[in-house]
Amino acid sequence: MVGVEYCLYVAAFATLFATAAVALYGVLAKENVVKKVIALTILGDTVNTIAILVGFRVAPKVAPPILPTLRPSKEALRTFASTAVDPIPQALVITAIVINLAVTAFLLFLAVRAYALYGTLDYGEIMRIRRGEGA
Amino acid sequence: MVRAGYAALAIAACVAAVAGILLGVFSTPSTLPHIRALGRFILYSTFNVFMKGWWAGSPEAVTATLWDYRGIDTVFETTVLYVAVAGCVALAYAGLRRGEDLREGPDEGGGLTVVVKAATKILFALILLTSLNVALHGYITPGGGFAGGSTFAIAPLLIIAAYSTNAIISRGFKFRRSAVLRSLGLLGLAAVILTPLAYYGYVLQNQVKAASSFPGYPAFLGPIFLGGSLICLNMAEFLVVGMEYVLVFIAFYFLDKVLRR
Repeated sequence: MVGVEYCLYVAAFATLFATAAVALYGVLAKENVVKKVIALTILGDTVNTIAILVGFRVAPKVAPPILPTLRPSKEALRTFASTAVDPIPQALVITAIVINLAVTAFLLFLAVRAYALYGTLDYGEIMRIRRGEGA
Repeated sequence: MVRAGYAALAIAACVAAVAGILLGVFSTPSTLPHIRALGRFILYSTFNVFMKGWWAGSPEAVTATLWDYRGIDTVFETTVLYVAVAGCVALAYAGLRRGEDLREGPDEGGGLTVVVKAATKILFALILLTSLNVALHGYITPGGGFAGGSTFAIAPLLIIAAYSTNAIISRGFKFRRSAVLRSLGLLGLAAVILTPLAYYGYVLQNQVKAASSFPGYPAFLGPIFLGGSLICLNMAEFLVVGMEYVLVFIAFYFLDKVLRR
């Protein structure tokens, strides 16, 4: 017998992976460079959410990974370790979000430069111009 | 191009299928109430006052992971951020001839209505306070240098939307000044990270460890809880992240100017 929490957990996972697949399709198939970047940000956020979900506990008692007291007893520490969610994915994701934003900015700078150079944001068009076929 | 679209669709479908299989293999109802052993170790030891050989001196397990247990990882993440922003600045200034100068001009006025501008001024101060609070208390509450820095980045964005990019430059966020503040943050990080080496300790050492003669950064200063090196690292990282974002915004302004000549 599986509980409602388990079903919700699996549904969340399935939705996130479906989103990741759609975003990956967008990165690969879209011709417009800015649309590629948008798909890439969606992919990044989805992967971050998956990482957070991997560290989650599907249990009746779940706590955030922050000890609520500065004078803990041994019992409180043991309870904390057995109810709090995994802190490692959260630590990885907080840095990943910041870097995602910086890398996105870099890609957009590249896109602006490409538009100034070729007069188009279409990837296939840019490649045709680079091969010397002209537009 | 149609073929490329089908190939992409096939790859996406493969990702979804693999995900489904992984899901079936790894998450059965019996494993879900538990987390991995490493996470449990960090949770148990991060503020374990009875076992100080392993503790990080911070009740906030995420910040402890970020700057103590997995500190090297965070140092390299900071490097990636630095390189990405350096690339943005290089792209913005590429094509500028030697000796050519794009001085930041005076504020030209314009922008949105006076209501929006007044609200922006109030919000600017509030965002500044909130971001400082998030960064300063990152070792006892959710938050830290990265979260505080990203919160701070909203403030110049608001000014850009309500006034103009020129407005943030003429109000003191000059390019060189932001770069100097960013570098100060990086130097602060380096100082806190490398100081234990002078006492024959480890790089990034925070609290006392068995095989090191470094006594550890103070966790308590009298009645005030400090959290060892975490508070200094968080504040330095706040400066780095916030100023890197300001640099990106200013660089975008210059990119616009270079391309419009």
